Amino acid sequence: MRKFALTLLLVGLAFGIAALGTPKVTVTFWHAMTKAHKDALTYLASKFMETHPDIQIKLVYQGHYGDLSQKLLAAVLAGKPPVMAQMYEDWTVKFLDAGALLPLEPYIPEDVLSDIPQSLITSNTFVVNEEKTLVTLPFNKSAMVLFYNTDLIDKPPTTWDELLEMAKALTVDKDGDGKIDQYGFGIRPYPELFIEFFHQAGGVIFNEDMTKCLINSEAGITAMNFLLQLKKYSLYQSGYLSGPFGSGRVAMYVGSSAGIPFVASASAGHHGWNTAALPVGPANGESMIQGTNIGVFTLGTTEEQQEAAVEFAKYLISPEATRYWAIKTGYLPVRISVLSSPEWEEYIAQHPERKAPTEMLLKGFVYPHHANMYNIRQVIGTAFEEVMLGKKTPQQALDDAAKIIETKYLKAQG
Amino acid sequence: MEPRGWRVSFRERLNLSWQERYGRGRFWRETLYAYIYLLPALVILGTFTFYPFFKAFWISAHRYYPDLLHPSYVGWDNYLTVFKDELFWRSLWHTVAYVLGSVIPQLTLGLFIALLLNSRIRAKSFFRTAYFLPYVTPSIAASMVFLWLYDRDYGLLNYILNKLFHVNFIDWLNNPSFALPAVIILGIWKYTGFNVVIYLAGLQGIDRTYYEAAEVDGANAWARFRYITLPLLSPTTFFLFIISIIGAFKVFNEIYVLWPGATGGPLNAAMTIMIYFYHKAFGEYHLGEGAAVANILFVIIFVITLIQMRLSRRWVFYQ
Repeated sequence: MRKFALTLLLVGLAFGIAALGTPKVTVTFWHAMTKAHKDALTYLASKFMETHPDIQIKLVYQGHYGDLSQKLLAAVLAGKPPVMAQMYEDWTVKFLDAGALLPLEPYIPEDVLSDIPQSLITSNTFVVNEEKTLVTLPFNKSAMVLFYNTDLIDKPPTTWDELLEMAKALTVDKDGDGKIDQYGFGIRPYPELFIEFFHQAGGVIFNEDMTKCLINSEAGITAMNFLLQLKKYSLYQSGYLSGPFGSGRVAMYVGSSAGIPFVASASAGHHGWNTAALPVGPANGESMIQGTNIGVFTLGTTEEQQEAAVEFAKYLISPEATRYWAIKTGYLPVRISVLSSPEWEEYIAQHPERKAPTEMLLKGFVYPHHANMYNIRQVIGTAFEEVMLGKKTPQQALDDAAKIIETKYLKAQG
Repeated sequence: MEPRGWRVSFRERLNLSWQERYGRGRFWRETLYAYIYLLPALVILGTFTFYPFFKAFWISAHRYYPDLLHPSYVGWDNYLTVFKDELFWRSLWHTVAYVLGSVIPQLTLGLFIALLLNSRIRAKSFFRTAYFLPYVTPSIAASMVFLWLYDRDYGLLNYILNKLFHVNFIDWLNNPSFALPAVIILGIWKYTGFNVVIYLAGLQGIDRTYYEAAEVDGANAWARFRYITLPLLSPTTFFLFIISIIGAFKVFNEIYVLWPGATGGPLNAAMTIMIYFYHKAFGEYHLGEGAAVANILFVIIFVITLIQMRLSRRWVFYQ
């Protein structure tokens, strides 16, 4: 017994000394990355810790984005969030309103800020004390691109008209049984797809001071009518389109570049594929940029932890790290200097499917921020579905949506 | 000799004086032991059942926006907000439709299959296992399989319907009229097996002599079923009815998988109370309204169960 106690004491002392030897700041980082994405993140964390021996980065996988959102919400309510986490803009607004986040702008040098694509700056900028400030840093970013089957299409469409024509030509009933075997296009009715076409038709969701919803403008009607036209030649389904695209049922679809690995594995052994810049609409050919950012919590964390977290966040957007991250995961590099570097061009030459997303990043647009964005997004999604299913005309659906958004979500404080 | 059951000892105890009842060390020791034995269960129940139960009421009386960390007291406002939301009423209606649409077929089908299995057939235990398998299959996995079965162009379900009945291909998952039926079919498939097994146990508990007596009196098969089997199975039916209804009200996983992202199906046609709750609490971060929805669901299930208990006195017979 005495021997046991002695051993315990010695072991305890040894650990104590070891801990004293390197006083480390532990930074927990909650994320939603799996497989190759997780490995890349782990690698970057270990690389960072090599050069920062006083910082310990603890990566914690918290499930998919939905899980991460719930866990962050619960942790913030309990006053014990992680030091840093991946977060979407609508969560960021909530955490920011609760005073739980550290705005990162003061920590980022001017030359770094000017090296980040404008769309990403916009999506990470929030209103703090009535002033626009960069709060989070862009992390895993993707852009809307056109996926197309290279066995069927030599030259991808470059305009809406070409897209419609090609979709029509590629919609065929191969065995003549009255059932379409191959669709020219694929439509999954999620709000971002409509917003993409809406934006390209020249639409903006809100007026300047966010008191009016402009979704029922001319651009909204144009976008809806065009999507209705496309639907005639589309596989319309609520599931992801990488599967039907891979099996050859769908020849083209517009989707996030985050789907590249899924398209690659679904198409392997079936047909060739590539991505292309989005066909240009009446107003522009810009692409919606999506994905999460990194935020640092002040709530329940020490100043040392916050500083260490800021260091790590800055490292993640450094040219080396963001290049590595982009190559390993398929997300986009968040630095203009990386996008235009010879190494990246060389990489693109070997991986043609990465060319279009990179191009789209520089002419990207993002959702505006609003505390009720979650609901607003849902209302827009419902209007999109109503039109696609023929329940309402574009004008009716968009008028109704705009009215709901204005009365329920813009007037009321969220 | 007088039987010494608990009634007797209880009566004896009532006759004891206060002094005799509480003055003995043994009484306090026994009480203490009883509480010590109860403690682990109480701690677990208290932490994971009772505390959240009361906390949910507290949360539902507070507003969590704009500042999550400093919720403000709003009384019944959250309940009013929910009651004023058209989508809440639609979700409630969808939930009721799901409960009725899935529980009644589950019970009738369950009883029918149990009766077949209770007769003298070959490979009885094989069928029993086969029918029970869906119930033990995780609902996420089962729903993933149904995702394929329901595919419009290549789904097995449409193929069979088309080949056998020449039904036009149904877009189960993207047509609002078929979204809820799709969930109901999945529910029936998944939970009927449970009813089969419980009914089978109930059937085997019925004394054969009743049937023999009935046969002597010249009762035919239908009369035997109607006047012996059905009444004697009533406690089983009652149990299954309550369990199934409570379970059906809480349907979530299946819908969450069939329509990724908890969208509630095409045009919210499969939006049930639980999905609606999920949106309120974890999508919008409006925890107060979410808790209000959860409490409303609690009250609904509670009242329905109370009514069932009351009605059960008329039709449930214990042997």
